[in-house]
Amino acid sequence: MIRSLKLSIIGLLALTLVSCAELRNAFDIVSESKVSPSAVYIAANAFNALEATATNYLRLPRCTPAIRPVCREPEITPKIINNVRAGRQARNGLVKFLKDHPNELGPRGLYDVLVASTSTLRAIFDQYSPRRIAP
Amino acid sequence: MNAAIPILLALLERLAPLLTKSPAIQAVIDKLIQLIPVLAQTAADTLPSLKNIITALQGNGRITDAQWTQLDDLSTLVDTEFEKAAAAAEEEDRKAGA
Repeated sequence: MIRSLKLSIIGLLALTLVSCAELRNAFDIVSESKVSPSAVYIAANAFNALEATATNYLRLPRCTPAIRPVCREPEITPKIINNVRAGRQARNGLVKFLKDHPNELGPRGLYDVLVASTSTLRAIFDQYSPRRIAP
Repeated sequence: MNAAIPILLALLERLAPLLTKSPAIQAVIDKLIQLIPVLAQTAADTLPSLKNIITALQGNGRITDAQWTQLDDLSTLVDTEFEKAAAAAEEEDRKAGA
């Protein structure tokens, strides 16, 4: 079970790294106040991967002094939850905007929130990848 | 998990933005309605692909309002998995802190 979770997390982190390069490209097609639908789509996909990583991470047992192969740091749990919720709200807002305004550029503000949430989550998982806790 | 499922999902991810006929879009949505409740429980690593298919279909200019709403409901279902994990983690931390 733990091994399966660990493999899932590693796979999702790899997926996230791929998305990182795509996200950088997305920045190239963003104007001052508007973003293209393709940039929104790429940013949403990058966020979706991290949302799934966050879900798996939160399912890990809380880190304690006992030895565990992988565990969840309680200090960063609220930060993960807040960033996923903020990113999800921005992603849903952008997707809804593009549906209501076909062929128009999306609002930059929501896009920035989505990208910021994605970047923060990525930084968290870079720093706090599941690790063995010393006894 | 059946090894064919990630391949099938990757294919759907590619096809979703290209579908131009409403019945074809509906067929994909119907499959997602069947797949998501099962995969969300048994194969969490497929969630990004499922979300990407939903996002791609929602960005498809050919979908109807009813289809968009169906996809929005499916998206919520996937997000619910995160909320369940978040609630359980918060509860675990609350008990440990008490």
